[in-house]
Amino acid sequence: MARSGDIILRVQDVSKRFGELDVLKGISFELAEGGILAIIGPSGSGKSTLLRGICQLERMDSGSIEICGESLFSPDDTGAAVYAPPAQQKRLQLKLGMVFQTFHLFPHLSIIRNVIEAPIQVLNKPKRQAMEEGMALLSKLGLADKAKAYPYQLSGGQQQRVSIARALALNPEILCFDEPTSALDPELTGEVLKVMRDLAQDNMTMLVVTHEMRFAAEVADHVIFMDEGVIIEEGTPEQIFGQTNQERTKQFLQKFNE
Amino acid sequence: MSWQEVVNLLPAFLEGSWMAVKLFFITLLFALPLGLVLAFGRMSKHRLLSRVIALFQYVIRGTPLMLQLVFVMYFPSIQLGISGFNRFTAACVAFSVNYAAYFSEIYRSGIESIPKGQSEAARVLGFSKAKTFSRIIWPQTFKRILPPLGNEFMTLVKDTALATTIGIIELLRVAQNHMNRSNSMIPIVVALVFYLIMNGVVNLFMNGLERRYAYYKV
Repeated sequence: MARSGDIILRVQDVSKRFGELDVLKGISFELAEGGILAIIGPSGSGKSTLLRGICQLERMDSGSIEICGESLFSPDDTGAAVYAPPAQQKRLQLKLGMVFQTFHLFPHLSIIRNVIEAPIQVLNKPKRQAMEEGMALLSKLGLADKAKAYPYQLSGGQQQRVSIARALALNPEILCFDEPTSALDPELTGEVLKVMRDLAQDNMTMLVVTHEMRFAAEVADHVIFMDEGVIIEEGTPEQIFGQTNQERTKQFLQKFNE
Repeated sequence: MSWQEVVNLLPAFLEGSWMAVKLFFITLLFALPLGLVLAFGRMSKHRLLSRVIALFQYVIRGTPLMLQLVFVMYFPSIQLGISGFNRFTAACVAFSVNYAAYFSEIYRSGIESIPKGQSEAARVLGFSKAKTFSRIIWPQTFKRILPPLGNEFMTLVKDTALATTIGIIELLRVAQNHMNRSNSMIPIVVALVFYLIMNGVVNLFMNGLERRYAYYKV
């Protein structure tokens, strides 16, 4: 399916229910190393919940998820999800980086501290090493001059780039994005999308929930269209954006072209 | 009253103030940590624990501190027939428990006001629960609760006057005694100035703290 490498994320028949509402109804897909998967779909389609399930911010009810060959959870006899031991959960957590729609930078920490806090506190890296690596990351993302600033002093686009640097500082295997440009003014989305394109060039494996159809079309090598908790259609960007024969997909894409 | 008489009163006033200062600091020493423990219990997913703490907060906040002072002072001797606390210890216990109940709600409102995204971001970065609280949530909470904490600190300075209920000689009692003796309002005015000075210090301290944490915005 994806362009290169082994499968590093395998999602099988995953379901999630919030009270009476079935948010995810048996989702399955795979992501190969170096692949870039875009998940598109209307609000409430369950795409963010799916991402949050993969990043362990939400407990899934059934199915299985495997990350880098290790099981995060798998179904028991009744199909209900049984999660791996806490140590394994934690290990798998660190294989994923997450970039949120509204950044969630730590406001009380300077930009560089935002980036190095997890390497120091979680990976127990020596401060000097974390600092050097953090500064290298900030330089790469064009933010070296902001290292000592605080989040409130940065534009939205800059804040989102910092949050990408913060996620990258833990060297994740997969970088997840939850609508990374939806909270930004249109003129600020470009700088974030550019960073994501650069990461794609570097062969970063990415899972992107997005409303940016042009980005999905240009950068992703695989696109999933979701609605009401199911995958309606998946394929290459050409298939989804060019020649879909699914009525629901057509309707959705039409709204973006208006 | 002559000026000389006022000056002669000062040692007694200083002694009364010293009682207020001691009560103030001892109360904070116990009530600030105890309040945090109560706040965690109140926010616990354990329903019974949370309800027990809520009931405790209701009883403490719903009854006069003066009554609580009397209760702590006399319950052991009258009801249990044991010697109980000396006056100052009883005051410290009653004040600490009372203020812990108020502090706990300030902590809880502060902690719950931190956006959920902060702990989620920390979680995906692999922070343990303890580190999420100590490194991410608490520093932001502390900045936010400084104004309501300042309120409580100033109220505490004034509430020390209630210790007189169980026979402790503090600033207001000293002033009243001298008012009665001299048939003059001057001792009361002097006490007023002493309270203002003490709360002036509290005020300066809290303003300083707020300035210290002004380097970032939430």
